[in-house]
This record gives sequence, structure tokens and C-alpha cells, in this order.
Amino acid sequence: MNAGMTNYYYVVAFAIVGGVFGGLLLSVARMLRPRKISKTKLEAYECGMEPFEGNWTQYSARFYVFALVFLIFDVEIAFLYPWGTVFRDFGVTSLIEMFVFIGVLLLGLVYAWKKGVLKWL
Amino acid sequence: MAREFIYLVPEIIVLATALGVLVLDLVLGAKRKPLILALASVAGLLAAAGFTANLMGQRAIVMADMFVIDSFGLVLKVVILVGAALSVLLAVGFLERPKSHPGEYDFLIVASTLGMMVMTGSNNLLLAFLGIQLTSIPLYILAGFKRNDSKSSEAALKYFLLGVLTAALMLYGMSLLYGLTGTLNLTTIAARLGGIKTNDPVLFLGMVFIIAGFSFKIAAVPFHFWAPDVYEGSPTCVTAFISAVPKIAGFAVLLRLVYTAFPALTPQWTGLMALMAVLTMVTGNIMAIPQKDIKRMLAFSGIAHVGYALIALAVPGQNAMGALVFYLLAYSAMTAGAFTIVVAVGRVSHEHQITSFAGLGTRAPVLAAAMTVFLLSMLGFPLTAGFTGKFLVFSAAIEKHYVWLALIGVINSVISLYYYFGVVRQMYLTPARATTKMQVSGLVWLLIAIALTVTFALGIYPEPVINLTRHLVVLFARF
Repeated sequence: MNAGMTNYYYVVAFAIVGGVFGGLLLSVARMLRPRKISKTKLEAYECGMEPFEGNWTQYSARFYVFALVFLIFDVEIAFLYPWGTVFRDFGVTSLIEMFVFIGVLLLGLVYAWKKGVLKWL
Repeated sequence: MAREFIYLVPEIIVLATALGVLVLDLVLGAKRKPLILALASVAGLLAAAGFTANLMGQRAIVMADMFVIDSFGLVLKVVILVGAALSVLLAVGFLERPKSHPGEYDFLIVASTLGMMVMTGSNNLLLAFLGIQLTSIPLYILAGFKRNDSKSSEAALKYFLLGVLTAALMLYGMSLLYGLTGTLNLTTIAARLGGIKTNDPVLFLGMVFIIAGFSFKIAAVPFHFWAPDVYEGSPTCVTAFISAVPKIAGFAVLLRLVYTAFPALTPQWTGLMALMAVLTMVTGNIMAIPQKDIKRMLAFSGIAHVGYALIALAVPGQNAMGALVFYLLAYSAMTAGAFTIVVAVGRVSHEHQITSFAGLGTRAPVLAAAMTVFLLSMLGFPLTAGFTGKFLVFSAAIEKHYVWLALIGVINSVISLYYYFGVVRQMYLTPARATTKMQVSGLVWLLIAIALTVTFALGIYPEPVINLTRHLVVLFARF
């Protein structure tokens, strides 16, 4: 047996212990608690709005613009996090590089804005 | 670290040009905008070409072993930059029509050029992949630049879907290779392949997939299906760009891959290249014969030319590599020239049938003569660039005892006589449908003159360039 497989046994042991512990707590609670069923209890709790129609509705193709602009910020964040953890080791060069990167993305946003892409017609 | 940036000055200039064009597009008024934006892009691209030429003779490998600076890459980068600058100028007339988007057009061309520079210099599979994507994505948009034209949208969609498919194939190949060698660096791959059995089927599969991905960029059979539709549907000035410039970068990256990473697999990849060369030549030439649309005909003729160039990859050696670089120069000059004339004729006739060239010999004698020169050059007629290119490639093949490959090349050249002379016949022997003289803008004349000069120079006095290309390949960096 190699070291890689040993790690999986830890996972299995963890799953068993977790399952037994969680099951135990839930069954104890089930025996002790009062049973009062109402419809309100079945609704989503603090998980966004109540759904009010089916999910196969049509929506405007214009949303793709927002998806694209969102992508700009999403990619930016995806790069900023790893940069933030290591930039101390690279010093000023990496600071300048990151600002160049953000500047390029910002220019893209400004261009889209000025061209009226963000306007909802 | 900071010193390494000196080697990247050309790339940084190109990036700054792209961003600068966007800013100019925002601040400029509508008056003369296409011309000003084009001149700004050309200035940036030529400045980058100047800096690239200035680096000539240096050898370095920078940015954590990612990026190679060697004379081979530098010369091809200069050619790419100059080609991009000329195609920006070619599009000015197209962009002067109302409701076109000159800023976006020039930005996309410059961004694509940056991708090609990255491709040409990459010493890492991941960087090569990034370069290919940076080249391709602007080209997908450019292919669909005529937004209300269904053929243009079709071209963009086909190009995009096939491009994505081959990108996935290529990534799969890279992952297989990474699994075997534990690195994406081309030089390290070559070193680590020493310890692996070279007849490993997984290794062969990985190599084939990567080569397939690169072959898509150069439109080699069987990865050529996008070419005719994209050439036909795209605006002609975009077609001129796609047909010439990205192929140089595609061959550069292919050459670097097989020579740097796979010297241990030489018998395998030369066999593959020989097979692709034959298929590409035959398919291109046979399919070009029945075409009625000049852009489709030139697309298939372009595929055939890629086949001739692939012969040089099938017979490794210094002469073959030099011949390949020379052939790329000759090919891009004559193709760009021919497409420039298609643009000029298309602006008057508003169609691209071969029959729209009827009577060009009387309507625009100089234009017809120039077109004849480009077609003769593609055919491989002596005193033109195409002849020298084919001669060098075929003689490199014969020198390595691949006589059959050279023979197939020659037979294919003879076949191509038929469809090239179809155009010449239209121009001189078929009466014109309209008798008015054709108006051609000064900018287009300038571009035709440049292409003609290069075509003749490489045909009549090719020695300096031949020596340069042979010398280059010696300077092809092996670290």
C-alpha cells in the first residue's frame, strides 16, 4: 500500500465518524422535540426569494453584455487573490505589473461604457 | 528581472498601440477617423518592427524560460508586424463606409498581431496555447465583422466552433505530454524524452494532438475545413490578413515544437508531415479547380501552398528550414498582393465571382498585369518569388532523397496551372461586362506596389534573403 492510498482511508474514517455522530445527534433531537408541522416550515429560509414561476422562461439576450462585464471583474479578482499572497516576495515590479493589468481591464470597461454598451434599451 | 523587459519592448509597444487605438477611438471625432486610427496603428506596429530588428542577433530565453529571443523568431516577427501594418492600411477603404467600427477593427488586428508575436517566441506549450488563443479570438470577431451579412456571421461561427474544437484537442495533447514528462517547457520536454521509450503510443498521441492544433492555424488537410467558408464570408481585407499573416506564426510555432521538443521523435513527425504535405497539396489543388468564387479559389490555392511548405518540414535539415522561411515570405507577399487586387475589384463590382474579373485587361491594364504576376508567382513561374520558394523546397527534398515528395509537388504545380489561368483568361480573353475605367485608391496602389516589389525581388535576386534564412536557422536557439 502506498502513501497516496493511506490518505483515502483517513477520508473514509472521517466520513464514518461524521455520519455516526451527526445521525446520533439528529435521532436524539427527533426523540426529544415536539412535532408541530406547518407549511411555513417547508419554505426556503434565508436562501433568496421565493420562486414564483418555472425556470424555463425566456430572458433578454442583452444580459450577455452584463455577463461579459461581470467576467472582467471576475477574472480580475481571480488574479488579485494569488497575487496578494505572494506580492511581498516580488516587490515593486509585481505591484506595477498588477496595476498595468487592472489598468487594461479598466480601459476595457471605460470603452464599453462610453460606447453605450451598459445602456438598457 | 527588470532587465528581461528589454527583450519584450516590441510586445509592450504592440500592446500599448492596441490600447492607444481604443483610447483614440473614444476621443476622436468622426472626421477622417479610419485614416487617423490606421496611421496610429501602423506607426505603433512599425515602431515595434524597428525595435524587433534592433534586437537581431541576440539570443536569450526570458520570463522563467517561457519566451525565446532568437534571430529566427525576430525575423518572422518583423514580417508579421509589417504584414499587419499593411493589412491595417488595406482596410481603410472598407472602414470609411458609414456605420463601420474602425477603432474596433484596428484594435482587433493589433491584438491578434500581439498573439502571433507571443506564438512565434514561445518556448512553453502553455504560452503557445495562450498565443494561439490571443491570435484566434480577434480573428473570429473580424471574420464576422460585417454584422448584417449572413455569410460573414456564418464564417465567424464556423471559424469559432472549429477553432474551439482544435483548441480542446491541442490541450488534451499537451496534458498527455505533461503527464509523461512533467513539464510544459519545450527544451525540458526534449531532455526528459531521452528517458522515455519513443514508441510509447501515449507520447505519439500527445504529439499528434498538439500538431493537429497547430495545423488548424495553418489550414493543413485534414484541418482545413474552415478555410474556404471563412475566406469567402469574411470581409476581403480580413481574408487578406487571415490568409497570410497568422500562417507565418503558425509555421513558426510548429517548427519550434518539432525541432525543440521532439528531436527524439524525428522519424515519427517527419512521416506525419510528409503525409500531411501530400494530402494538403492534392486536396488544395483538386478542390480549387471547380471554384467559381475567387476568394474560395484562393483559399484552396492557399491550402495547396501550405502543402508545399509542409514538404520542407518533412525533410529536416538546415536547407529545408531555410527553404520553409523563404517560402513563407514569398507566399505571404504573393497572397497578400492577390487579395489586395480582389479587394480593389470587389469595391467596384461588389461581388467576388471569378467572372467579375472579365475584361480587367482593358478596364484596368495595370491591375490585370499585377494580378497576372501574382498568379504566375503562385504557379511557380521563373523570376518570381513563388519559383524560388518552390525550387528551394523541392531541392531540399531531393537532397534528402525524398524525390517522390518533390515529384508530387511538381505534379501539383502543373495541376494548379488550370485554375490560375482561368483567372488570367477571364481578364484578357473574356469581354468586359462594364466598360468604365476602374477607380483604385492610392493606398491600394501603394500596397500592390509593395507586394509586387517583394515578389520580384525574391524572384530575380533572392541570394541575400536565401543567405539570411539559412543563417537564421543556424541561429535557431537550442538551449
